[in-house]
Amino acid sequence: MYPLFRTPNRLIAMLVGWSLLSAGLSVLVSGITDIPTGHGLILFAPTYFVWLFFLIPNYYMCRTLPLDKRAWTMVIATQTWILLALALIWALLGRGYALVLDSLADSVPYLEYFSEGLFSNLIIFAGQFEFFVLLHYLLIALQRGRDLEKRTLQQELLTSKAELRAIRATIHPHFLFNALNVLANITDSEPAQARNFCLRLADFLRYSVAYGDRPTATLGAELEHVQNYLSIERERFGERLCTDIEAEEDLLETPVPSLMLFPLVENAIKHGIDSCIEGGCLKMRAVAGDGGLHIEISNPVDELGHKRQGTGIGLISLRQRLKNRYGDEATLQTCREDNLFIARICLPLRRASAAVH
Amino acid sequence: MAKREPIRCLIVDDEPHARQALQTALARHPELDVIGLCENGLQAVKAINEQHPQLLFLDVQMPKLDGFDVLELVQEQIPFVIFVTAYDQYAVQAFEANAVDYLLKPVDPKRLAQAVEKVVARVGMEEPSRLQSLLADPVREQELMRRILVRDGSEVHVLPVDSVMYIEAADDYVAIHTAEDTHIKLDRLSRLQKKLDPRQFCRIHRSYLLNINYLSRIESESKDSRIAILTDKRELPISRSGYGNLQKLL
Repeated sequence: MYPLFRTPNRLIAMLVGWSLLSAGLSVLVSGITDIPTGHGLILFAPTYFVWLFFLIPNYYMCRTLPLDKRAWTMVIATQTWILLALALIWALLGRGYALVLDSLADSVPYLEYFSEGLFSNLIIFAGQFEFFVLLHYLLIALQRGRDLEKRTLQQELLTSKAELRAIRATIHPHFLFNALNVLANITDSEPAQARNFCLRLADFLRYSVAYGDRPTATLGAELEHVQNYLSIERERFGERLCTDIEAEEDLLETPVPSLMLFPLVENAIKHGIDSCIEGGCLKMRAVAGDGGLHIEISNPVDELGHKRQGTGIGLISLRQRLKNRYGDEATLQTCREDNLFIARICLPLRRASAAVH
Repeated sequence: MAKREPIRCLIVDDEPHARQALQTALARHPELDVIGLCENGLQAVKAINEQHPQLLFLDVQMPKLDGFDVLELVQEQIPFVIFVTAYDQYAVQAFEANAVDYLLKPVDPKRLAQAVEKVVARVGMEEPSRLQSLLADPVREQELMRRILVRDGSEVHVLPVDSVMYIEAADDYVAIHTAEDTHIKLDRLSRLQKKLDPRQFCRIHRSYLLNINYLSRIESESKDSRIAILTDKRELPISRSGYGNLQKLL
């Protein structure tokens, strides 16, 4: 549908506006060419009005000649040819109309008037044509921008939904394999420890499943969850993994997005501690300050310890989750300081309290 | 069957429980003698170099040097390898490396017994089937290297590719030159070139592969004879086709 006619209001406004413009131009051209104004209006105004319908198809022409894909010279040449062709057709039609008028009113030389006004008319038409070409390209660009925006938004919505589900629902199968291995290795030699290991693994899985559908948890519950995870990994890493986690006591009831800490801690283990041949210490601090909750996780990393670099998908999707929930009020920043990798989360404390209900 | 010396083997795994469990399981196999436990690839290379075990129980995923890296560094010194890993994704690669067997964790005692039997049978043969080179493995060829592993006796150097100024071909070896050092590695220049980023490394001569980040300027002596001056003033010859390669890249 032609965008300028899309709504009834627009269509009426366009037709009325164009009629007035046609009348105005008729008076102007009559003045220039010394044709009596009344006769000029009768002769020119209808033909100007019709010219509008010569201009509209140009919109579709512009769509087939996108400016960013075709050469400028080619676009200008094509549009000029079209203008000339349209002007010729219009001139023939206009002349026909003048002939009809001529035969109806013997005393007025309409055909002569038409010829006298032709030059001015062609100049006006060329101007209008150029104006419409620019207008059409502008409309097309605006439309494309809107489409793009819409598509991007839809895409973002889809991905964020899918990511959420994926993050929450899945625990990496490798993690389960590793846990089972540990269990198989210690059941004979250390039955008490194996039992304890099972309990913590069960707690870990229960939390991951339970909070797959619940968007909010407390900081205390999140910390317990990552502690469970770390105690499972500690069996695997032995002395290579040490942990040092501290949180201010009165922050433990603070509501936070569920399963927010796990991807960061998992990253710290998989891409950090595990890349270091001697292992290292995972450090976490949760403190309040400036009306926000600040969590910092740091771990050593050996850049050449792994053949592959991490994909960073975990960080990207966590960042997306925070953005969806807090807008610009929450941040997740990561940096390298010497051989340490540091992730910092900052959440608004106030907003978080409101989100619990 | 005549009584034989037990086969000397080494367990390489970064997880303490895994090492212990395998050692315990192997205690039931008197035909094997566990001479050492290694926590990582560096220890493994050292132990292999110094103790010359006949058999390696090798984990794949380990920090710094993984199981395949260890083999790349010591392949000529170790007759038999059994991979022990939690995942089956490396199985094809492992058998291409001519591993005797591939065990999945948790290790089933029956499967372990089968694997041990296989090794015992092969040790009995006159010609042990040598480990094949991993170097032609298509899986490993696909990814660009971020580091080059070289061994100097028991010591392993991990060179970031960015620190490599140029690599020189010398018979069956390559000499890898960094700003500080030169390392020798049993490898071919053409194979290394394939695994390095072609936007960074340019074959300027039949015998030279240059990291263009260290190229300072090019001087021409005559029409067909040019010299690359490196950032530390070292000079390398550029062949005619090498100059073509350079022009394409720059």
